[in-house]
Amino acid sequence: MSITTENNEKMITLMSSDGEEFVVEEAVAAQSQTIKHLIEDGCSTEGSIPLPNVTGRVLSEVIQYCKKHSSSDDKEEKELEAWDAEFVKAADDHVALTDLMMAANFLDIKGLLDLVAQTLANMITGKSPEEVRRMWNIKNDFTPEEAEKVRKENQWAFE
Amino acid sequence: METSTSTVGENNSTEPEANKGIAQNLPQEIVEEILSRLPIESIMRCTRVCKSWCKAIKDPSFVKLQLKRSRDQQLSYVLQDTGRRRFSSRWSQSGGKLYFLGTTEGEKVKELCKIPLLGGSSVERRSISSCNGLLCIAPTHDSETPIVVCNPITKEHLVLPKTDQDGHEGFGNQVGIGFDASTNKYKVARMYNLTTNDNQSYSFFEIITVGEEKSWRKIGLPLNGFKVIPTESGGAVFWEGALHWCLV
Repeated sequence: MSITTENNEKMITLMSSDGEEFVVEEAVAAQSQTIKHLIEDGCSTEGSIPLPNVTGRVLSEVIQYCKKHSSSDDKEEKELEAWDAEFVKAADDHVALTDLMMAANFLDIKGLLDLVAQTLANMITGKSPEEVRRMWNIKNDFTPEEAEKVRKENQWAFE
Repeated sequence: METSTSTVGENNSTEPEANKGIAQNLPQEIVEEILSRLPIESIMRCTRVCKSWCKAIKDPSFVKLQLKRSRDQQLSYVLQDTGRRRFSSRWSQSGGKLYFLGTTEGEKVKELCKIPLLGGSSVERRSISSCNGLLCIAPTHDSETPIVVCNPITKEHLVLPKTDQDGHEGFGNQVGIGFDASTNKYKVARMYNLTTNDNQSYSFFEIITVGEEKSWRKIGLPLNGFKVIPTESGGAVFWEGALHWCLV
């Protein structure tokens, strides 16, 4: 659905995977390269743009980020950095951050992808393989022999 | 090195329901995006998480991505010889180890790893060249000790084949390692000087593609009577896609 506000700002409607609708300014939504291309291809003229990979909870966070970043200019870089730090802090844990990162990847929002990926990387730094597995419920599929081989690969053979 | 990783074949059936399945479905590109932002020690530790992570980390596209990011960080490294506390590639009775040090912001220097050197203290001088964080280390006078290419952070290394010229060199190996962007391969060039009967000394070059070729290829360079100076700091410098040597 394409409507225009009093400020002559074009609005578009995004629909999450669980059917929630979000009406946002086109300039905000276009922070996502994926949505920008959909708009350019004329997908926003009728009805809402469906985003089958993103739930309403995650989409509202993404929109929050896009709103902030479309309204700030370069002069406010310091303030924006502080806002970003608060934003990822509010996302709470690595599960929520992973959801957010998947959405940023699908929607192709580079700034958000960089921000969340770096936050997750900081969480992993210094953790043991077992701790990392527990974070994402990853199964250790190495046999004991393979595990030993991988471990040995990071030692000098001639030491 | 942590010790809690030997839980091979652990039972996952008691995992909390809320967490279920998030990461088995993590697409490889997401894994790469996260891992490429880690410090290298953490990346190498993550090869032990599971097979798909290990495969992702070893993938050439990941190596490229990581290299790009680490260039953005502009980290610098210095080598330090264990015997003499100074930065140099010359060491006498040092026991054959080099420290690889990382410098981050400001004054902080931290030891990243010790590089054991083939030949130990019997090798008096070595020639060292570096490119994209890889080091090529060659003895300058000892034909028994091979030339090695190593990655001090992943602790991987490759021993290069011996050359036909081993055993009758006039003066010293000097090596240079470079990256050939047209083939995506690393190449090592090696210079040695030979003295002819009329007491003239000439520089000769050989080249090998790392990890691919089994023997060195001789290459002719139009030196016009110049020859390479075996420098104290020991090797060619790779800059802007080419190896640079010092001539007299």
